[in-house]
Amino acid sequence: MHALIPALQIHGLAKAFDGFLAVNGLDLVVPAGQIYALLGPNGAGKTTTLRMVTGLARPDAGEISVFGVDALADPIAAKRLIAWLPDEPLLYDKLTPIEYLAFIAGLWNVPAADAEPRAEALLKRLTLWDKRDSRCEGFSRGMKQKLALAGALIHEPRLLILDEPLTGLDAAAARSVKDILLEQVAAGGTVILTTHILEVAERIAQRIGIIRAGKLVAEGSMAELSAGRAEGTTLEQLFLELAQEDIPA
Amino acid sequence: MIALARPGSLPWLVLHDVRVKARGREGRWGRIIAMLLLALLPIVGGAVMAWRVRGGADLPLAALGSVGAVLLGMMLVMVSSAYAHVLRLGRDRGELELLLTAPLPVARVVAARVAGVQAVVALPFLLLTAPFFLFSAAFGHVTWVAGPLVVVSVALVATALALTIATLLDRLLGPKLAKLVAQVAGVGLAAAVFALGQAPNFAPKWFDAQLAFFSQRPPAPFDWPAQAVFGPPLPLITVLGLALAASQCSAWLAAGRMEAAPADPTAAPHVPRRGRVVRFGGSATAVLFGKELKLLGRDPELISQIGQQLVFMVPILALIFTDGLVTPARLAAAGVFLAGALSSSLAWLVLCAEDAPDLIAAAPLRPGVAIRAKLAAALTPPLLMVSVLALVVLPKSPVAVAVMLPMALVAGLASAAMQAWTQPPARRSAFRKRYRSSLLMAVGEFVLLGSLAGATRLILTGSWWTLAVLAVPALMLAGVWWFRPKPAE
Repeated sequence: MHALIPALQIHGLAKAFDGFLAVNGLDLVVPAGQIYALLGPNGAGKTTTLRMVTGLARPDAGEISVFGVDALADPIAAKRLIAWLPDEPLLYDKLTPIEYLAFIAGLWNVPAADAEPRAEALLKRLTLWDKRDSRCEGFSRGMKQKLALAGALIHEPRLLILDEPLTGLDAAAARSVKDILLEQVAAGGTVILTTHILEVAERIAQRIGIIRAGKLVAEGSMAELSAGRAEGTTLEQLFLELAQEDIPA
Repeated sequence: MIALARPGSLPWLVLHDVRVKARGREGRWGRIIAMLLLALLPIVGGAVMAWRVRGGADLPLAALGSVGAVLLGMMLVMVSSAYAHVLRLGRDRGELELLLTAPLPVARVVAARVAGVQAVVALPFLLLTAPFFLFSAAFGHVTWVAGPLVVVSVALVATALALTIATLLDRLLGPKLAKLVAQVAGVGLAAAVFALGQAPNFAPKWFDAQLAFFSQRPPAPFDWPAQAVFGPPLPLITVLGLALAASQCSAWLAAGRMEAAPADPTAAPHVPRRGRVVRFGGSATAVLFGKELKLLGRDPELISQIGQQLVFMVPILALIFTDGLVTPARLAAAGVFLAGALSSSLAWLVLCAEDAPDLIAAAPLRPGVAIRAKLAAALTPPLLMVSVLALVVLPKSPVAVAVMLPMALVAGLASAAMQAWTQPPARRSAFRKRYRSSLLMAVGEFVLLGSLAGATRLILTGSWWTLAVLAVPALMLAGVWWFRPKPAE
């Protein structure tokens, strides 16, 4: 029964800033248990959409449902299910990684018996365990991004939303982040990510949505998107083609 | 103006620096007009003073002691100012590295940076003093045109001193600790200068004695800098020679710093304290409260700045204790005022300068939980401070304590509300500049806290005026709430 409920269901979502329509009646369904890549050119409305899903921005119109929970009517219940990882890590320079994770666990009300071993496992997995008592102020961007990911995972979210998660990561760290996302999905979680690295989306996402001018212009698996096109069509070719097309009114 | 200089030349590099620093400042025209109006004061004042001393000797021997003391004070302030700029030398790496990879002599790039620091250090004092010297020259003391040259010379020596101190501290303490020590010392120096400025009100006899001591003419050649101001050739040439040598020394030291400085000294790794027990499983309120106190307690620079702002409240306290009489009612009023002022600073830090607002906004918290926890964190230190004062006052007047504690809480809440309703989100590093954009807010806060402190004193004297005085903060808060900006998403 649970598997039938989509992880995220958006209907008629709209948001304008000073007359500019950033999201324009967006409809989107993200099935549970998948990695969903939301792609689009700069300014297409990806981040605005995700910020509305996470409760950071209020839509002008539309509906958002997270695992069947109305995110606009009951934002607290929806937020319990979600973790949000933007491209700029949400950290405190004067806290240590272990203090940061204890802080996040407190915000999401994770019992100590669960949070403490989970924090240790995450820090070890992300090679930050040796730095657990060092303040974040001396960390590289990659280390900060990994710690923010640990923070996002400490409360075991059912829906993990990442905005450009691989920004600033070296090859090894990027690999370990991708592995963690795949594990998250294997364990029954759902991941929505935005990225400009189309190879990553092509390789790890089960479904891909392409958004432009606040509207969904294409959606499906890689096979579905490239159906009817020349064999060997890459996501990059598809993306460039769709990004140049006129949007139907 | 940059188009007038030859690309790649020293003036071109200096003008480029000036252009980059001048752009992107909000309210630039308003600031320029305000500065022009401020510049009128020394021009008018300088003209009047120059007219009054027009008939005196070209070398006023009796004034050399005072002039020397002024130059010494000017040098201290200039060193402090130069230090702040020196710390940034070589650390704004992005642009610097662009310049250093360009086909330009490195020495020229360094000289441009140092010239920028020297100019910034000298300019305020030149604006203040040059009109007097130039008007004096026009009124007959022609040799006094040397005055501005001496001011520039002092700036060159001060920059060299600041660079020397910075280099020595870096070597002795490492860049991170050196930066912290310098910032705390800078704040301490500014507070000390301010407190010294209040000395004529609090300790007039002591101040007069110090003034008499520093007005004595020092023996030659220590009076040469003061003599140089009035233009005798030998002292003037000596001072200019020293300044040029100092400038050369600055260029040499600056080149060393630019090569050696890390991009950001705070990026040096923090030395971890092993074995620290971190408790998991706290409630959202508890972790937010703890987080705020940790962030405040771990930032010595911020603490020193908060302390400095409390020192700036000294003139207000002077009003409370105007006739030198210390009574429980007056102590209670002072406690309320200080608690409100401290709460205001801390409330701004915890409410407006949240490092990760999206993290808090994305957490599943009931409305009001985060703000209540943050308020509790902001009010705890001021209430602890007032509690210490309460212990002093309690044996003399329990009633004063009974009034002071709740009034301190009201003052803390009122000033926190002012911050929350009016101040936009900002970075913690903007703490010192937070009122620059709003003089009205700064004045409003003084009136608010002054009214609450006054009301405290009136309650303890049993005056019916209390109600009228209490109406002031009530009306102010209502007005601020009514006109508060619409919250942005």
